[in-house]
Amino acid sequence: MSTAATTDRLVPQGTWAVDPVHSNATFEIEHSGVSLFRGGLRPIDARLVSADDGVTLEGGVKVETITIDDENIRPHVLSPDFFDAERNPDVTFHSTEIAGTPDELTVRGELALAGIALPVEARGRLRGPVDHPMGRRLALSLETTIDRTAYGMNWQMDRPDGGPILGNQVKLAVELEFGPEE
Amino acid sequence: MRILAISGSLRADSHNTCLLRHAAEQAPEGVEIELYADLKSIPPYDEDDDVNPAPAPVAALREAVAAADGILIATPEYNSSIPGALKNAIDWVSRPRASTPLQNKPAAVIGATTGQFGAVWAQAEMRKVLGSTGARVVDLDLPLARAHEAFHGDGSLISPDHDERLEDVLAALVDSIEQRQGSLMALAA
Repeated sequence: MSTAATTDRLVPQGTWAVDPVHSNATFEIEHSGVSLFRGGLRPIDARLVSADDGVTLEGGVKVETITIDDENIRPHVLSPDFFDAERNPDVTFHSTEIAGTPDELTVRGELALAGIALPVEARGRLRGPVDHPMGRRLALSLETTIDRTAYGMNWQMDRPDGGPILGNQVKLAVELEFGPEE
Repeated sequence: MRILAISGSLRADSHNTCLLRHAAEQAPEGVEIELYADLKSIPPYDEDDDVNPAPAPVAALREAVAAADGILIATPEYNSSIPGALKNAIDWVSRPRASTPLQNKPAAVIGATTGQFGAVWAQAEMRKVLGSTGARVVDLDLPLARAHEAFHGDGSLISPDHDERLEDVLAALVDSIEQRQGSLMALAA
């Protein structure tokens, strides 16, 4: 069975537009070697297109929307030490392959941030479509883990006991709810 | 294009100030390097004093940084690190953090000492500090060792290697400024 045939059954044909209110993108990174620091970016923009030749997903979000509840850390994260948001205001993704089953979905594609685009593989699930008062709805839940240093985010400081302040692995997750594009 | 040059040494006959004066003379065409000369008047940072209006010398430095397209710092090295007066001035300009004119500001660091290592550690620490303020820091240094023997009487550098390195640092800083101007124009468009 071809990928296109599989995904064709996963997602009804047509263009599905994200519902930004019920969608989000979050990140999770180890902090001080003991905790998981979580934050998010929104509103997320995404489109899911199901056509004869398969399903594609593309989306993006503005870096400046990152939620970090500290007036000192947030501008540092937007600065050239991290996202370099002035030069690279967007995080973008486009898929190159969507395969699997609704419960075990694999989405491969290219994730671009901080001026660098790299291949990623996300795993997750697809739910729906279901009927909703506002029309049909389907949802994608996807997760992947990236190495921030591969995106040139090399900032680090040692703790007094010698370990790093910030982890290098960053878990990314998106919850995307879609409705038919009008 | 205007670059604000800040010497971390207060001494009248400072090697670092001399290095910045030489840099100003070597500046590429269309680039004006203006020497900041009021570091000694910046008071020690005290959050109680960090009010509006700011102390006049602080306000003047903040405005000078905001008006400049880029920053060039020359630092000596005291106890393997940045001189207190220089760090203090950067601390003032970095506050309030959310609106500092240092955010995304192209910056480069050079340095001179009379010792063997040319302020290489102070330059690294200055780059780290500038990165923390949000500046776009050129990843090059100019460790001018044995600075008391490095200049001609007219203030020019004796070693062509030093001049070449200075040229590289200035070119990288100018390139960073031009890229920033390009991205700001793209954002405005």
